[in-house]
Amino acid sequence: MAMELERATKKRRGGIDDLPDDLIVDILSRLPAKSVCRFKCVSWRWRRLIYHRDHRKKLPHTLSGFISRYCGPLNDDELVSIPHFDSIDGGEEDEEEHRLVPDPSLSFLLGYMSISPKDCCNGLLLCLCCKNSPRDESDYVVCNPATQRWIILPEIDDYDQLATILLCFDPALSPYFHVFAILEDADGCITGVEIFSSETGRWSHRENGWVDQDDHMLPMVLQVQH
Amino acid sequence: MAAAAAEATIDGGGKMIILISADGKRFEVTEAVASQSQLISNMIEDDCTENGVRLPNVDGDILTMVVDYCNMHAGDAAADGDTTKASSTEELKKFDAELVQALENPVLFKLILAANFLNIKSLLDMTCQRVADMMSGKTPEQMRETFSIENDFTPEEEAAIRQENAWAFDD
Repeated sequence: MAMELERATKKRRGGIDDLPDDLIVDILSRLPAKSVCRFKCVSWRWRRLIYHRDHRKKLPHTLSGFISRYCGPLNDDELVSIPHFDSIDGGEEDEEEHRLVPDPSLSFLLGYMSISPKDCCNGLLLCLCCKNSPRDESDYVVCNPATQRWIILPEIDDYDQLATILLCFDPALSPYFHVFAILEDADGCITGVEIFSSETGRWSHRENGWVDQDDHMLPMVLQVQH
Repeated sequence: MAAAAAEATIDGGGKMIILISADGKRFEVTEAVASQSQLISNMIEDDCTENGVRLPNVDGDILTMVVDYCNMHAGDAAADGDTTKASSTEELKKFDAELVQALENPVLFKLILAANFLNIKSLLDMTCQRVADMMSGKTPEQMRETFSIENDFTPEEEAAIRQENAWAFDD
């Protein structure tokens, strides 16, 4: 604390540090992410300001880390999958107010014993979650780890044909997200796609003659049309 | 005709308002000029400008600049539809650029604080953008130098933080 005070008194008059936090954040929000990241090395105040949770939405975004799958033992025979967040800028995960993902193990997803992240898109995460009971049942869940809001997707028809599942979300275009479930037959040929829209809360089935016997083509999802 | 009407609005734009700076300087401006400040505009609505508006945290020299800026921009909204607007927009741009370019840092920061306090969005936007332009591409050392920021890291702390953010130092 004494050190903090001593540091505060060192502030030079007439410098940019005369400006309150919100004005410095306003200025920083006009700069590219790389500059803002570099300015964490300017002083303690600037570092705290750039890291602060309240300012994060206003500042340009950078890659903050990865959510990965961690497998740990449930008992002698079984393993469970738990998500784990690896921060790439290090050192901050111990400090509660700096945490980018408040609950990286996603323990707010109640009722599941095992959670496997499958895809993510602009802050949303799609997970396959195995229920506590009955244990052979599972749900696809889309969650926002920052706000801890989540929804369970309804069951997919033709679940046994599911080959790939993808999440698409662009908050600049729409507040709704879509999940694409690509279906394959026993020979590995794509037979169609189920598309879930969070706007309707339902899956819809599409077939579009993509089946290609030779190339096993995977349709590339470029953009969700609205 | 439209121009004459606009001019009448500016010149005869209702009452005059007295702004009083921290060091007691008085500025007489029209309501149209003063109401570019959202703060003063609210005060006009609430009828509390009768005895002058005291601005205890804005110095006279800064208020001079703010009043100049507001005088220049007062015609802006009033002149809508005026055919001479294109050239006046050019003039305004030139005036704005010259206003911020010429300022020493301590004055620029005081102007930002005044624009923020008086809530003049366009002036705040322009001055903040000017600082952002000055920051562009700078290293932490150049930042401290340009903006008079004390380096309060120990050498070890600074090295560790640089290490954390190493990617941002690649060219």
